[in-house]
This record gives sequence, C-alpha cells and structure tokens, in this order.
Amino acid sequence: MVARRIALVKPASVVEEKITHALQLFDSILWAFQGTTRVTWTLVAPEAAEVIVVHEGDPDQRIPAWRAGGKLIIEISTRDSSTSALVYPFKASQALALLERLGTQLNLRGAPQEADRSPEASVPRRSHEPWSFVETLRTIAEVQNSEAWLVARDDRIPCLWLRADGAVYAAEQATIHAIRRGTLNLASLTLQKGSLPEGGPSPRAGVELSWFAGYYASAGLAPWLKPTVRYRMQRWPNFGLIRPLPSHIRVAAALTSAPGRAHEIAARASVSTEEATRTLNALAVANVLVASGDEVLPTKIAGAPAAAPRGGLAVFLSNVRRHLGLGV
Amino acid sequence: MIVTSDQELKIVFAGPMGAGKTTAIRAISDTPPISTEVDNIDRALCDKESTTVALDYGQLLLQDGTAVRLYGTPGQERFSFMWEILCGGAMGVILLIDGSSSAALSDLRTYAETFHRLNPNQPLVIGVGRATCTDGRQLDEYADAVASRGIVAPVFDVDVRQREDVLLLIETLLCILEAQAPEADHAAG
Repeated sequence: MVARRIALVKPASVVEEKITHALQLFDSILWAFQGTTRVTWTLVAPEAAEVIVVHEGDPDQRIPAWRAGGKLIIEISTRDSSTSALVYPFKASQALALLERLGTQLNLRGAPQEADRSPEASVPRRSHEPWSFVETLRTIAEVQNSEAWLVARDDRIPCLWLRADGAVYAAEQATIHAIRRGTLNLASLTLQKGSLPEGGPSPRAGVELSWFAGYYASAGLAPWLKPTVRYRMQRWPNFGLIRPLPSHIRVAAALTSAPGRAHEIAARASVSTEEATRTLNALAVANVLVASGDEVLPTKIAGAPAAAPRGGLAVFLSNVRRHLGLGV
Repeated sequence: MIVTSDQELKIVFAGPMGAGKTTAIRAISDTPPISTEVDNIDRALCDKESTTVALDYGQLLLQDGTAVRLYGTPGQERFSFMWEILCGGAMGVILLIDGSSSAALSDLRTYAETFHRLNPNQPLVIGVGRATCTDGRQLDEYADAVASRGIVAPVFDVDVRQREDVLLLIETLLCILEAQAPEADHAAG
C-alpha cells in the first residue's frame, strides 16, 4: 500500500456556501474509500502535503508558492469551468479517478512511501463533520459497488457492516437500536474495506440506516438542501423497511399534499420546525425529495367525496389513533 | 361536536386473491371478521383452500360510539363490480399485493390504476407482502411503476400477519387524510 499526503484548504473568507460543500464532499470521498484504493491518502497540513486541494477562486497568496515548491494543486470549481480539475457537484468516481492519476504522477516523480504499518496508522482519522457519514452513504449509493463490504469501527471495534452500494447493512441489535434512537454518533465512526463476518448479524435494508443517519445528522437543513426552496416528495420512501416514527409519516403525508419549506411543512403536519427539517433531511437522503417544479404533478380529477365525520376529522383521527394505540 | 355512529366511515382493503386482505382485517378488527369465503376453484391462480367471494367485514368501535367499518374486497377480477360499490365514499383504500407472485407487478399496476380511476382523490396506501428482495429494491421498482402512472401512493414492505404492519398502513392512511384536510380541520386537532 502506498501512502500519500493530501491537504484540503478552505478559503479564508467563504462567500459562497457551495465552496464549503464541495470541500466537504471531497473530504467524505477520501474518508469513504480509505483502504479501497491503491493509494492511501492521509489528510495533513498544507505544508506537509504532496497534493493540495483548493477552491478555484481562492486568492490565498500561499498557493503560488506551494505550486512553485512542487506540490500538486487541485482546483475545485463551484461553477462551470473548463480549467478546474473538478466541478461541484462531482461524482465520487470522478474524484477517485483524479486521485488515481495523482497517485501515478507522484509515483513517477520519485520513490513512493511505504504506508506506516504501526497500529496507530491503521486507524484512520476520525471525522466529526455531522454530515460526513451521510455524505459517505450518498457517495457509495452513487458508485453502486455491490461486491465489496465496508466495516465501520467505533474505537477500533467493528460495530457496523455496510455493503459498498449502501443497499444492505448489518449490525447487532443494540447498535441498530442506537442508530434508530440517534444515540450512536455515526459521524465519529471510521470506515474501511472489510467483510461481513460469517455467522454475524443478519443483513438489513440500507434504507433504514440512511434514513436515521439523515434524520439525526443535524437539526439544521442538509448542506445540499436550500432553505428558500419548496420541496415535495416524488414518491414515498419504503416505510415498511424503515419503521419510521409517527411524526415522519405525518411530515411525508404533508409533503404529498403540497410542496413546502420546513416551517410550512411543520405547520401542516403539526410538528416542530426542527422535526420537519430533520425529516426533510432523511427524505433527501432516501432520494425521494425534489424541488418543487422539477417534476410533473399527478392529475387531480374530482371524485366522490368520502363520508366526513361529523365531529370533525381531527377529533375522529385522534379517536382512531387512541383506539389502535398508535403514537401521535 | 361528537361523531355519531350512524355514519358509514369505512376503510377498504383491496388486492388480488391471496394477498392477505382477510388476514389484515383480522389483525385489527375489534370483532371477529365476517368472511364470505368459499372453496377456491382457482387453485391454478392462487393455491389457498378458500377465498373471499363477496366481502370481508370487520370494524373498529371507537370510544365515542363511532364505528369504522373495514371491508375486504373479493380478490378475483370477476367480482370487480364489487370494488366500485365498496370503495364509494370510503376514507381510503389499502391495496395489498403478494410480492412473491410472478404477477405482482402487473397486479400492482392493474389494481392501483383501477382504484385511482374510481376515485383519484381517495388516499391509497400499498402494502407488499412476501417481498423476495430484502434490500428494498423490489419495492423501489414497484414505487416507480406507481409513480410513473401519476399516482403518488406509499408502497411499503409489510407482513400483514403482524398487527404493527397493518397499523403502519392505517397510520399512513390517517396521515394522508389529515394532510388532505382543510387547514381549519387541522387546527381543530
């Protein structure tokens, strides 16, 4: 295994949110594919790096000096650009191909460094970006490699196995409960290539993992969603596999009646804005959310109305829920 | 205002023969469901001993006296004239599909289109039992098939022998009804 050093440099003053997202995405890709590529990339300070990733418009005066010093400078652009190596939003496969080329280029320059085989070196750095795990799930879902498995470790102890297309995962019952309750900090897990142990926990649908990872990642809107945009569902997620909380169903139902922003959906579903925001995030991770106007809406034809309860629908629904023991 | 029991508030369970309509009603009904089952003469189509020819009937008796009637439609298409009768005025339809059947996808298309055509604004919730693929991809295909026909309906993996799975379908139906209700009705809750 060949070890190489890379640095990500965020501009001193970020005028565009997308710049941060672009660097986060690159960071997530590095993290997600540790151990699966020919070169092991280790994040270091720019001064120690062989490759430095910067934003195209970054006026940082150190960049020309780094370039002159022989470091490879990779520019990420957030708008159409013919000169940048990557244009955000880029696919994981594009980033990986670029890293592969850089690895080859560095090998041609001189003798590659053997990877440090000390126990410390075998444990990748921890990422505490709240969205890093979710970004990983989104990335591997795009790459669609159903042949490989990744193993997630918490303090070096394997706790979760994830097929590299994200469609299936496995974990012990206690870990599954922790994921569903949001008590396991997924962003702090380290992820490496591995294999599902024989006789280990039974595989479960990955949509359950990605749903709760998205739901608990942050109380704020996911980086790729915009607070000014109204969203709607293009289809329902498979709640039969997800086993959502009752509030998730309410938010999803509210989104089928009309598009909305988080606070509008919250009012419609009678939940808090934070609850609506978190559910929007989970729906986005499940890949069922679209910006309003992006798709053709189903035709509405007037039909025979259903019998309406005389006491009002809200009272009736509350009575049915109480009768069946359904959570509100 | 009090909801009185002289109203017909009903939820319809629909779907092909052997999809689990009778089982689903039995899972939540307060009274033993009344089934008009006879010996199944379509054993080539579905290998079960008896099947529903007219309807299944169960009910939820709420504390305030309101009765919510649960109807199961006959599965065989030659009884399709019953579907429209039973669905008229229903609060919603729960469509059950047998995911292990080779005809599952075409059944889904046929039934979803039929019930959507009967009343496009009636909430429709789809439960697929015995799905053959555990990672959810089979249902993704089903959900796409429904969405491509302009029908926005939830499609869930379920086991209707489990009460909680039937309750998931009911809760989703209630949430859709709630979301479709005018704002004033929301406020009342």
